Amino acid sequence: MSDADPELLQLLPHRPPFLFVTRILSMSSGAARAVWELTGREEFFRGHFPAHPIVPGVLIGEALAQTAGLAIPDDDSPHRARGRSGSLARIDLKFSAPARPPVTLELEARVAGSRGDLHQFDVVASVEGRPIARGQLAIAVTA
Amino acid sequence: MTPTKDTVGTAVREILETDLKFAGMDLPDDLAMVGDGLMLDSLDVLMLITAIEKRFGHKIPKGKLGAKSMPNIGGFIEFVYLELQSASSGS
Repeated sequence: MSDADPELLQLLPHRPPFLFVTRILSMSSGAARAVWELTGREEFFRGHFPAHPIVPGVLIGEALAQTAGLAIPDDDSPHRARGRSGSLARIDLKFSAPARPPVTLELEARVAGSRGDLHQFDVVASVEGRPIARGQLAIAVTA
Repeated sequence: MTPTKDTVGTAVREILETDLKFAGMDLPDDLAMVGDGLMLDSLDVLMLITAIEKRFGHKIPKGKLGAKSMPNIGGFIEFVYLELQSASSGS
């Protein structure tokens, strides 16, 4: 919990235990790839579910939103986005398979469009290259 | 090939019905989109524009978007149609 990547702590306002991205694979203005490594010892697996743990879909959505936070385009925002707060304005995901720990979730976010401080992303979460969730989300960057 | 105005109109209405959840509503050409009528907010407009751009494979320049480009549904369809025509002719 306390071993968060210092680079991530600079780029995202989230903190453990609600910082789910554990490593950045690539990052540019408008696109980011990252991973969330889960050991199976995370607290929420005690209840989701006893004896057969599955990564909660809402947390996969949050991890994708954090990945999108790494990809917010600099040039489209009146406020420089990185390291600032952003609010999830919309999310629409389709889940095609469960993710069971231990597992490394590969997270990808690519900007699809922007208007001012509002940014829409296409997002995908994969396990070993196979998509398990995909959809769109929007983030509003706050001043 | 430039899509016809009917094709653009069908696409706009499909996006309004499915992505923006206006299914079951009458969507006549003279229905306002912003401020009245559909009362789209900035997030709705972003979703609509992004979906149109994906559907037709053309990025609409930000400077061209504004209140004048979406006075109502018919006006927005006309705007998108002319934008796609302009893009395909290279002007």
